[in-house]
Amino acid sequence: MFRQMLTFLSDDGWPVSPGEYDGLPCIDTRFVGTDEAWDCRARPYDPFGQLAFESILPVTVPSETRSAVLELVARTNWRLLTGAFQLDLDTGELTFRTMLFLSHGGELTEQLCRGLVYGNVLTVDRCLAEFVGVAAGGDVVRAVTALAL
Amino acid sequence: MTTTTAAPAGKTISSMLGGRPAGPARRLAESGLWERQRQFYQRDADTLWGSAMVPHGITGNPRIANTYARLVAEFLRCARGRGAPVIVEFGGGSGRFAYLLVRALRELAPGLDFTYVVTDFSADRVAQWAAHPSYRPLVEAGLIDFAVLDADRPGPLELAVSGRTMAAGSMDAPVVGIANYVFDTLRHDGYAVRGGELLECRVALPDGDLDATAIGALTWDTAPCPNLPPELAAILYYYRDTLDDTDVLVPAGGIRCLDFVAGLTSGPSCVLVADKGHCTQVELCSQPSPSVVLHGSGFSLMVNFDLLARYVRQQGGLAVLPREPARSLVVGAFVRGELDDPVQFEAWVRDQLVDTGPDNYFTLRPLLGAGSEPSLETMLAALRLSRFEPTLLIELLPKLLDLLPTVPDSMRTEVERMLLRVWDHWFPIGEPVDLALCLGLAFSAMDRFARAVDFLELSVKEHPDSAPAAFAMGVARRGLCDLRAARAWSERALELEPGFSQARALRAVVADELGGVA
Repeated sequence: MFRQMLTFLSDDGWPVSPGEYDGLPCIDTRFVGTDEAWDCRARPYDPFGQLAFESILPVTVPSETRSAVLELVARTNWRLLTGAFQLDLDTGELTFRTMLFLSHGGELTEQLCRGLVYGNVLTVDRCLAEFVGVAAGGDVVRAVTALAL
Repeated sequence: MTTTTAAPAGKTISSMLGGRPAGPARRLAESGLWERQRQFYQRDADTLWGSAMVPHGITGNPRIANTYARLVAEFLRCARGRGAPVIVEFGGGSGRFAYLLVRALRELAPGLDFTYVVTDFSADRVAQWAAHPSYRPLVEAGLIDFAVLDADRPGPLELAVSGRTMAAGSMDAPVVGIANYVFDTLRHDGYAVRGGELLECRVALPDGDLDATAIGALTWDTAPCPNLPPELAAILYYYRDTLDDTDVLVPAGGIRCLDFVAGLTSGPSCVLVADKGHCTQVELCSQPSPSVVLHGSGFSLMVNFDLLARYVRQQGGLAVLPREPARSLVVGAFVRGELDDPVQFEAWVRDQLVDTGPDNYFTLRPLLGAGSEPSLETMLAALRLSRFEPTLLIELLPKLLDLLPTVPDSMRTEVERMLLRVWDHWFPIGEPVDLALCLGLAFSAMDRFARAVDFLELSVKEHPDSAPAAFAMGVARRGLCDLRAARAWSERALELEPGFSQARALRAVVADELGGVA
């Protein structure tokens, strides 16, 4: 899956570099959205047929707004089918993860890769401003309304 | 943690969205977007509204229905016309608003003879409404009927129940149109003001299937302005001369709906429109491109209420809009034809629809919920203010259940009346909500066990595998001293959920009591 994902990203014009996350190899890349750019990583776990793609949102949530952002994460995830936002309560790192599980040696096609990656970054692109706003002290209810999920 | 540095440049959203070759740029109203929209709204109502994929709570609650009923009654009081008035709702959605409004209007004007026609472009949805059991008494009373109507291209209404046809010019009676969250999904045109020039907005769609990604990947362009329709030219030139560089939407489908309602009758007409949109000129400034908001794989646009108002006034009509931008929902009234007292009507609309209307109510609505530590009196006041909204009762229920056992006898009848009003307003649309169980619990908490059983019978019938419903029935049966039934229901709850400790306790208590009886 590592090789197939690397090929997909390269062929699709993504900058790629090999990296490591939690002691396992990953592919680092970057996306330039409508208003902001952010780092992304693809995390294949071939032995288990698992492939995650994560956007690392370009914001570190300050401790005083973490509970508000956590509420926005919960409310947003409740509506999302695509994937899930995650907030590290210790560091304030905010990520969005989409994931594939290919059981029994299922083939990782270009279409699957595209759905995994595009679904991820387009969702983040749509939601980013509201998360940044709440991280800066904005109102959660207003953010949820604005997201109109 | 990641141990490498991030790549310096990145894949861009424009390259991604342009990854699928775009087709030719077309006028917005003629683009393939609208076919996609129709496919989305062809889905069944449970999928669209029961899952809240399409927002509807703000326009599908008793409060807004009551407000509209008052406006309709006031319009009919001021309107000159002959015959029984007709109310046409475009895009009836879940059907809940129609149910609430007809009941509210009947209560407000008991002797009024009227026909409310709920419409949609989907024949399947119209057939579903016609079969909905909650509508049956209203259909039998001749108050409600159904028709297929494409709001984008409205034509004669063939009523499903009465068989009557309502075509252009076929009536002298006053006609009311209602469009809640409809105009934002209908065909639009777009124009751009650039450096004092008026241009036409064009849109290019990626080739292939129009999925959600593709709708998010629209490419906007401008082209020289064609010959403008005369009825729009003056308005658009006014925008050209007064706005900054901006993109302006023309709700072409919405305008057709306004004209359709006015054309049905030789008498006066009034269209009540609620939608997200722009109602002031300031909001129309500096719009970089039309904002397409996705709902599932459907979408909506901001409705240009300012243009609708100018259009209606240009034709000698009356348009009432908020003077300030709305927070969530713009509501407006558009009247054509003669009214006895237009000034009074405008003041009434402004008060009911704008100042104390749905947008302000929706903004304050979170305060009515159980966020703080409300007293019983506060919760009852909130329910009254909401006009007995079922979803508010559900929000308040945990706190209510704490307080209801302490309600003095003198208040219980009033609480009972309120709970029954809430039930009256329940129109199921496929949401995962067991309102009958909520009411059963509330009545049990007030020791009104016979009434509780009435509702719990509905609950266990609709939700035969619900352990809470079975347990609640056990409690209510015990309250009625029907101990054998109480034991049976506690056992049923345990069968459904073996770890249900309260059901276990109930079974033990009832077993003791049965032993005592024996």
